[in-house]
Amino acid sequence: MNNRLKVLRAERDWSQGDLAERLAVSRQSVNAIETGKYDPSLPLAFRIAELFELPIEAIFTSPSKG
Amino acid sequence: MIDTAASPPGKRNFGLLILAEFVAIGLAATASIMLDLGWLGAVMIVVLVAGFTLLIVRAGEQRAISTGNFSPVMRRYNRRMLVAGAVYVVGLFGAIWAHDLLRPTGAVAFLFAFAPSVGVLLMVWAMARLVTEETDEYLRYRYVRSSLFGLATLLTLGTVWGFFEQFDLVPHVPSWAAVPVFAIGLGIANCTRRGRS
Repeated sequence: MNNRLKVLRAERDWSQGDLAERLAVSRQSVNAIETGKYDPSLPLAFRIAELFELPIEAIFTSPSKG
Repeated sequence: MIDTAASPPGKRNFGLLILAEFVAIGLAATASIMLDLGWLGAVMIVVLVAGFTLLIVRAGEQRAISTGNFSPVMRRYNRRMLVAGAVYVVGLFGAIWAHDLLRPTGAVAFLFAFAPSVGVLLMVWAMARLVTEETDEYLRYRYVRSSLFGLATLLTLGTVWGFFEQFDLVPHVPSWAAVPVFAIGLGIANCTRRGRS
């Protein structure tokens, strides 16, 4: 699953550690999601969407849709 | 803005500590055999292992903190494993002592023979609690993956070795080796993951 997490984080000038702290997850989790090594669960995806005040589909996109 | 630590602080210390432990235990074991130290040698090795284990756990935690891999649940897991390790050592030495000196029979013999298992069962319980208590879903996913690799290692080696043994090709391995083999698989999985990330 593709995502815009890195871009959104950079726009806010947050480090991975900052984002991890806001989401109450480890920095490795943020890194794994950003690099596409791990797809978050739906509850975590909702938390990410709520944090950025965006709909989920504005952050995560299906690989088939590029 | 730096996202990933190129070389986690303490990484070298961690490797050096493991190397130092192997050297120290090797020297102690050699001295114990050559000088025929008996129980004194065994106690010396246990004290060395305990001391190095504490240092390695602490160095491992510091490294995990620096690489963003640490969680409070992992700290709890480490403490539980240390306690379980201590219980194991006491149980093992107690059982050997009882077997050699008291020569128990019947139910009492079973009780003493069960003593070393208590610490190991506590370790299994600590591993199960790690997976159930971890709230970070990515770390939990990694624990489960590593555990599955450990289980696959155990099933593979156990099956292959069992048939080799059946046809008298290899010596008998006691079944208590199951947990150490699982732990080796777990360790390999963790090392290969670190190598990739």
